[in-house]
Amino acid sequence: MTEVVATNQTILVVGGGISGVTAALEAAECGKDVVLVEKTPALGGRTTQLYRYFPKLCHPTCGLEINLRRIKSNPGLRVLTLAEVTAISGSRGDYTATVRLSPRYVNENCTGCGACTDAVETLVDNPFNYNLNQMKAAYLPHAMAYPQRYALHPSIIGTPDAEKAKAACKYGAIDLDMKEETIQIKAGAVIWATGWQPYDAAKIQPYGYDRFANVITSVEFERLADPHGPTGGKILRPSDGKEAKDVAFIQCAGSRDENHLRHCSRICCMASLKQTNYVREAFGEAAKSTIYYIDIRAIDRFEDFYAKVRADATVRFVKSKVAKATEDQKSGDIILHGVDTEGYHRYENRHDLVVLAVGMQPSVNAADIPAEIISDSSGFIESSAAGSGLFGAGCATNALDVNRSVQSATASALRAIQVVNKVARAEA
Amino acid sequence: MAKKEYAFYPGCSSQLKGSASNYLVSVDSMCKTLDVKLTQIPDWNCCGASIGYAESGELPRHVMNARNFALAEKHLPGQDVVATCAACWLNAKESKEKLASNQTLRNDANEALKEVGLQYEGKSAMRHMVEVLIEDFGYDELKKPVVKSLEGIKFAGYVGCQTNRPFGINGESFENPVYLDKLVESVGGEAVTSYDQKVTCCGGALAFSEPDKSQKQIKDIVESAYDHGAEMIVTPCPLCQANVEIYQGEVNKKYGTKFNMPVLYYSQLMSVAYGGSTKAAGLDGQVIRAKKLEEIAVKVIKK
Repeated sequence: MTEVVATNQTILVVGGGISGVTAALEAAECGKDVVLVEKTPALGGRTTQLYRYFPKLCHPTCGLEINLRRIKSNPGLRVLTLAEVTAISGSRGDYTATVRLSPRYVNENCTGCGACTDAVETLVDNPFNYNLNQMKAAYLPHAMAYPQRYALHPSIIGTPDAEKAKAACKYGAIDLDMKEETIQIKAGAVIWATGWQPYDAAKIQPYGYDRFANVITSVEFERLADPHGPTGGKILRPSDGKEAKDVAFIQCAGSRDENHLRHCSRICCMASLKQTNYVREAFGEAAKSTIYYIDIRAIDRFEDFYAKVRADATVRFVKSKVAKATEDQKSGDIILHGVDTEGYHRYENRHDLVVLAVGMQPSVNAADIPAEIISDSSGFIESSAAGSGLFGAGCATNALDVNRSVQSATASALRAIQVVNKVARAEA
Repeated sequence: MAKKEYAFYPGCSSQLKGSASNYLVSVDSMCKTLDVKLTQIPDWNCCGASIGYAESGELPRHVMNARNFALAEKHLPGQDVVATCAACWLNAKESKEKLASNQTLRNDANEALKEVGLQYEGKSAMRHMVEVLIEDFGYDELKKPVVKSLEGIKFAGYVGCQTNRPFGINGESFENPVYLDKLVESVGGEAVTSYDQKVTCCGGALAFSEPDKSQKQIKDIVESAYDHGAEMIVTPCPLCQANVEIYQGEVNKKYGTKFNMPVLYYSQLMSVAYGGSTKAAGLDGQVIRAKKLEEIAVKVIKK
């Protein structure tokens, strides 16, 4: 049985992405008692799946390393992975959260040696690479995963593969008898930081994500560019592994659209502008990027970044909402059809690869959060109910980039700290 | 299986000497095998397609469909209204939706219907025949009566627009609907699943007013079917069928192509597969004869 000692002076942070990690650290570094719960086997969330950040084009692993060091050095912060909050009862200053712990089948004896990976044969989709490739069913979620501990995929439990993994482990770290557990955690305040998910691109039917191999999403493109990704960092298109030198980016894929997401997802313009750099980095002057856009929303200081990309001769801008994509079935090329609104020219443009700059939607719809919260029409957390001690942070509250998520998380930490301080004073 | 009964709305194209009269013949044959009883709505009128849009205005267009529904509710209570024509289905379904969401329109329509002693209540569901096949029978059930598999014939499933947008067949993708492919497979034929023109516009009524534009559409539709190795095109829509079949000669003249591809209704395939004769399957109504299907239809099955 997992024991987590928590009181009504504890701050519970739900979600271990960049926002949750930030909120948890900010609170813990102020001396508060914090429990951070994360649904997947490792912290870091979608930020770790990015190749580079905009606008400085640095690698997210850098910031992650700093954060992990902060986590390890702080005894006031406890991390539970494979943990999902299923219910929250109580009120400000006195919450009880029900947390479901899924079995990892690997205990704390794990040294991260990887012998279990070598031993098993079953392959499963690799969610870290957005299922673009497969991984062994005994796995470390990614190179910088925290905790640095392997996990077994539930699909092999009860099969000979699980026994092979167990036999291969010299440290007795594999425990096939682990069961799902449900625990209760007390908390004075709760920070809800469950983040976002990419809009389901298959729903934007005219773009053919569900039918054409060479139509991918912007988050998948990040993985193609990343050396830890399925292609080892080479920009190769899925249909035939050919180098994708001519890449089209379709903006507002699912955003600002009555049929899909009504809101502007805010990050996608900068994401595509950034990704033209990946194409240039890979192919130099032979690179060709085309951005199909409604308007470019590179806000405040990002304007400089936009101006730089504008000046890049390998990048072309077409002011148009693409009407549809078709596939040349012989070559696998994608042909985009539409009207360039600057001059009203019809086009039929051929590209090696099409990247849909998909919108952000909350990964947990605010209406489904198991506690009282005020939701906006897109399912983001708009605000807390009056007198509540539950606060939203990061992309659970809005479509935000990493920088703004961190600001939002810091704000939520401050709100939560005020609640537990008040509890402490009342009890003193 | 118990007999299924529906209030049938045949529509104009299915009438004697209409372009899709053979569609109705094949549907009758198919329904006989499936033990489906279609009862025509007595004294039904036009669904308002094309012309209704051009001149009559909103209210008369919906009243026309409301009258058909009211007649069905009066004479064939409890039965779903079924149309075989994609345009009839679309127009009636649109009217039903508008009448349901707009109280004023419904009151006005009923005011008009009062003159002929009818009342629209919106009780009957509006269904297309392919919905009946897919939802009330299911592909597996449709396989059972097959006595002559259409094995070896490749069909391009040309869905067109009207059964596809805006309502669509439940659960189907708008850009890549697959129900025709599944129907083809259920009678043993080979579906060209990679056929990429399945939802391309056939030109509709522009076949008359803008022949150049519509014939370009038709060329794309037929050419892609050839490119994918199809021998025949199959469709659920009388207008698609007529446009794509009839104008192949014109397209050949204009583009120097040698198109000669039969265009059939799903019901003709099923009728033949269920043992129907050339006549029962309406194969005598083709402008471009479907010889391979005719050969199967005349084959005698040994019992």
